[in-house]
Amino acid sequence: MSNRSKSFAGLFYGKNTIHVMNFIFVIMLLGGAAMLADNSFGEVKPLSAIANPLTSAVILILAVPVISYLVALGSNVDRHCAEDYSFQLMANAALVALATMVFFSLIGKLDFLLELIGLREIQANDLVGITLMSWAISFFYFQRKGLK
Amino acid sequence: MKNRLKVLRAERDWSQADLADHLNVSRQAVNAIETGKYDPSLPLAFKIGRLFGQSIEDIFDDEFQSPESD
Repeated sequence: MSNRSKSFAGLFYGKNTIHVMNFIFVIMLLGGAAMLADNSFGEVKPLSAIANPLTSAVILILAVPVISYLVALGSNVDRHCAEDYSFQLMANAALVALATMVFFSLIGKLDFLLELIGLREIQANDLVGITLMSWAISFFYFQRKGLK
Repeated sequence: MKNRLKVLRAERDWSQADLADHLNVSRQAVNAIETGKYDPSLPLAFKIGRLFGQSIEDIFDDEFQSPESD
C-alpha cells in the first residue's frame, strides 16, 4: 500500500473515491431535503391561501427528483447529439459553476462579512447570474487550458 | 497522453478541419487532442484508429510503465 493511500488524503484517491463520494452525496441528499423542509416551516411568505408548510415541503422534496430526472434525460440527449469534447467542456464547466454558486450562497449567509466588505444582500437572482457567469468563464477556461 | 495524430494527419496532407470532417467532430476537438489538452473518448479513439488503419496503441501513448519494465 502506498503512503498516499494510507493517509487521509488517500481516502479520496483510487478505488476509495466512489465510497467517499457515495457517503458525501447521501449527506447532500438528506441535507438538501432537510433544508427544503426547514425553509418551508420558516418565515416564508405564502403565495396562496391553500399553501401550508407541510404540503410545500412535500411538493418541493418530490419535485426535485422529478425535475432532476427530466434534466438527466435532456442531458442524455445532449451527450448523444453533442460531440464528446464539447460535452466534456460543458460538464466540467457546470461543476465549477455549481461549486461557485454554492460558495456565493454561503457567503451570502454571512451578514458580518457582507457588511465588512460593503456588499449588499445576495439574492436568488444574483445566484442565477453568478452561476451563468461562472459556467461561461469556466467553459472558456477549460477550452483554453484543456480538460486534463 | 502523447499521440501521433498531427504526424498521421500531415502524412495525408489533411488540415485539422479535414480530419475533423472525417471524424465528425469540431476542428477545436482535433486541435485539443493534438495539443494534448483533451484525451478522446474510447469510441472516438477507435474511430481515429480505424480512419488511419492503426491500433489505438500505435496512435496514442499513455506513457504508462509497468512495474516489470522499471
